Amino acid sequence: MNLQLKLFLPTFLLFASLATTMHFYWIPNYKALETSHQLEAEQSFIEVLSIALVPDLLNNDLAKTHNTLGIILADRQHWRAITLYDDNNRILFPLEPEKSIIPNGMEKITHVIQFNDFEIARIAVWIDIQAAQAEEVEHLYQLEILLLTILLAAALLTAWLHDRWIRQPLRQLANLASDIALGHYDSNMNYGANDGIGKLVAAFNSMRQQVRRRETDLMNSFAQNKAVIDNAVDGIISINIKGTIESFNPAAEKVFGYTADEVIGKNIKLLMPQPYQREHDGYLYNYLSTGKKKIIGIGREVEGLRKDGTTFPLELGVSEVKLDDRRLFIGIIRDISERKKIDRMKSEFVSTVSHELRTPLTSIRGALSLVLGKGAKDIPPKLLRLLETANRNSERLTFLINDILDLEKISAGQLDLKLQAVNLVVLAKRAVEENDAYAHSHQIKLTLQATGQQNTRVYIDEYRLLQVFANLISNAVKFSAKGDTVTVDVKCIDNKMRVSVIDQGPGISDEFRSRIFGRFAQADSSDTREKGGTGLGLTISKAIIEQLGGHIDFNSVLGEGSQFFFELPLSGISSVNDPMDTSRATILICEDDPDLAQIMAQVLEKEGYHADIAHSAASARTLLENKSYQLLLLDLILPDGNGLDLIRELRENKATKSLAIIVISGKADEELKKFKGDALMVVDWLQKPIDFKHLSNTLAKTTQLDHRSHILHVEDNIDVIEVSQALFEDIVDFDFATTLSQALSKLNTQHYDLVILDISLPDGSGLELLNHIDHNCPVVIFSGQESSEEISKKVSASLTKSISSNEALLSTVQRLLNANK
Amino acid sequence: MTRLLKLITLLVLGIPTSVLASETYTVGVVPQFGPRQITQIWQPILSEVSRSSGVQLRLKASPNMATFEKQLNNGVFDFAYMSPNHAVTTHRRQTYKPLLKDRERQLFGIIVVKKDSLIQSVQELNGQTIAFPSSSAIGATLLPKAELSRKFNITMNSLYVKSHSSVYFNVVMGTVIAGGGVQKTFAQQDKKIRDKLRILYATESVSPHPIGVHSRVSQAVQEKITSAFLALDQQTETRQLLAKIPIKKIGSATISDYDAVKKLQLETFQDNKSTQ
Repeated sequence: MNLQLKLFLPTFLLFASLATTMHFYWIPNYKALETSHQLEAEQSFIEVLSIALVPDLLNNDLAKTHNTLGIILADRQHWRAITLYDDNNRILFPLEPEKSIIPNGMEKITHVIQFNDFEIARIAVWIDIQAAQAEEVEHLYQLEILLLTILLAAALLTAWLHDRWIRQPLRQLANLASDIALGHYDSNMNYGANDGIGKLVAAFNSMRQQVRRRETDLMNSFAQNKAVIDNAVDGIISINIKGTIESFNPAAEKVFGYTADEVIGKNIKLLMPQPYQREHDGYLYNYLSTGKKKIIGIGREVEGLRKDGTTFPLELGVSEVKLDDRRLFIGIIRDISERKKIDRMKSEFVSTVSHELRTPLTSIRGALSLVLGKGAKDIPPKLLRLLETANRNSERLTFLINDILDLEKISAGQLDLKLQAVNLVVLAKRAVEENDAYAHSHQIKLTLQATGQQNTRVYIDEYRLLQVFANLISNAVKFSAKGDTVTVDVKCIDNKMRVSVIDQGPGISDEFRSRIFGRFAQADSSDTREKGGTGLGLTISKAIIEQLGGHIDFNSVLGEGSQFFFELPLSGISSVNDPMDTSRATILICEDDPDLAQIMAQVLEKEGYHADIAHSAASARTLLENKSYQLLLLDLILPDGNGLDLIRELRENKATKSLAIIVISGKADEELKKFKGDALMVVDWLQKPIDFKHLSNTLAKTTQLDHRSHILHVEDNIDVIEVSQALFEDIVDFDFATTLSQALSKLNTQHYDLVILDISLPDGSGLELLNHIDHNCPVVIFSGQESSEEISKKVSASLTKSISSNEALLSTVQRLLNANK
Repeated sequence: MTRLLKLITLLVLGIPTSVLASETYTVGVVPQFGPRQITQIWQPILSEVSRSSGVQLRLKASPNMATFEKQLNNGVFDFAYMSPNHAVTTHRRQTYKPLLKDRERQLFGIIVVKKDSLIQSVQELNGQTIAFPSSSAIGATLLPKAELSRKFNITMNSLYVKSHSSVYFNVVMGTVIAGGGVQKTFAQQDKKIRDKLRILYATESVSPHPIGVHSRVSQAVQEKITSAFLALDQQTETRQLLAKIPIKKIGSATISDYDAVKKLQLETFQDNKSTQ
């Protein structure tokens, strides 16, 4: 409904209601009133007529009476009929009553004509009141039409005035508002009068000026903001909730190679390579429906897709903005190709450096330790001291490099942990054993306190936790006086394992406490030289413990000693069979002759082995299923089957596939001949009666690796080879290859029980060899770089040069060879 | 044209006599009709007679019958148009004598009943109420009453209803069984009335109303007036004036013409109470 109509409507309604009232109320009422007046008048007239008729009636002058009534009927045309009866109810008028038909709808007035209170006649008159009033009614309707015409004219005049005084100024104002909306601020409106409309116009003009000023301010502010965005170094892109790009600044244009016009209105997916392109809608939908932020508010590195189809790394920060009820996502984009390149170069540098540093260092350490270990007696004391200094410093350098590299990893968040459930008490025992020599060298007694918690396990990275142990123990040793005791205490407190390393040293000064876990933190700069160490140990330890979900701290009393402790949550896994528990090799004797079995067991016990006895193949199977054995002494003739069948069965089983088996048989030679070539991997065939000396030798060879195991060390650095050769040549047949191709040819032509592998080779990656090594053959990675988890899974063990000592390498190799027998 | 010339001649000749005759004679008329109607009928006639006779006549109206009869008895009028009964009574008192009358028409009364009335003879009216115009109306009241009484020995109640028309209306409307009237007034009634009525009986005829002259009027004047009235019969226009009286053909009259009336002794049937 337009305004004109609205303004006219009240007037029209007033007009309509007045007209309706007039036509349907006032006029009918007036007519009714008039009718009643008319009837009263007629009544009066009839009364007068009655009086006039009295003499003639008394004189029985019926002719005169008829004459009178006839004249009256002729005169009063709305009198349609008169009847007159005498007192005997005889009709006196009209002459022909039977012929006078009284029409319907007439008003009937009757009157009794009296003389001296006696009734002499009755008169009845039928009056056509409508006809009587016809003229008057006609008059009334003419009056009504006149009034309505006047009212209508007044209504139209009112409407016209409304239009002129209200609607037209308002329309002008509306046009003015439209002009303002289009940015034409110069349009003006003048309205002379100071009435409501005038005030509105004045207010509007004032508003126009203010809007103009604000728009100018806004434009300036916008221009300023635009300048900021346009000149921002980072790309700034805004998208709506559908992912449609709404703005794209010049920096973003530069980064992606698109102009803003090319991308605005398109989906942000345009700027993403697969699979992000495919998945982006899903991200948005997830966020909008669940509110779970994957990227919002978090800086993240993602890949971008340029117009030319190339991809590049970019750092993306997304923030969400709500404007009124709209949601916008603003992405700040920084092309980090360059930074990535630098990072890559840096990491390549670190990798190279570490490799380059570690390799010669390993050689130096290996060589020195071999010289000092093997031929110390033959070296003159002066030279020996110099060699020992060199050895000590090479070790320190190794620690320093390792710590620096660890720190690098920690700061880069790349400290990879190989988590497994480990019995902390056993690990503590191992740590104590490993560090015992060091403590001893400082004339410190290292003890372990751990009672009743042997089966309690934590979920940790064994190597890293040993590193923490080493750090804490070496610190305690360093700060203890000669002859002191350093105690490693392991206990379980509230579902947590707590390991404390307690010394009786000088304690920690107050000023040092706050920075004791900081980098290169040392209580006294002179400590470095005096005590050794890098000052990075506690920093690394804290990082490791915290990454393992634990907590590290210390208590210290000056002059009385310090207690460094860490707590780790229990893993909740306990094992029936603890491999660490087996300090002695366990051997299963499967022999149906109980005497012979018993003798053999006694001999083995004497030799330092632990032996279990099975008298049948079935009981042997049961024992093997429930317990891990390093060797099986098997009689081929058993009451419930052939020993050879049992061997075959065991070889099929994954758990016992590589179990070392020595066959004892009365006819071993025949059997041996019979089954030569059968890949039963039997260590030895012993003929009954048993030569126990021979058995003892065989057992020693088998369990101590003191046999003809053939290992291959693939390593391009000849110094490392030399150290390795010196380390292994007494116990294995040592072979080496310095290139990938050489290693390949050797692996193809010879059998090796174990391969030690360096990854960085001059003609390729050592990992390429993994496919060419028999899957039964254990592989030990021995490289300058730490192996990734992925690689570690593929191999039996991985050691890092310079982190791992000669002893660690030797024990790993020995363990693997042992397990594989 | 000739007629107009004659009239002018008469007018010219008449001027001297009218101027000479300074004496004016009064004329009374029985109030059979209302005074206005009487004036309408009589004024043209009297003017014409005055002009032609040279005797000045002046109409002296009477409001009602009683006054008229009183004036008649007192000899107020020089000339008077009166009922036959008056002619008899005034002649007995030697005051007026009949001079002129209608010589063609006779006066008789009628008895009317409703057309569908069961009454077939006047005898059946015995003991009934019969309407009459007035007690002194000779044709409509006195002649029928005298004849019904004397000839048929009927007794009746008379209802005087003021006029002949009223008599007929009363009979038509059934307020009375029968009514007395005269042939002339019956004929004058609207057809609607006449068609509803039946003439049951007509009385014997008597001479109609005479114009009488008082004895004090000179013979010469009497003659002048007589010839002037008789002259009216010569012209159609003047004859039509006379017809309104009503006199169909005027002629001279004597008292002997009214012997039959005298014999009827009509005054005995004139109810005093209704004599106005």
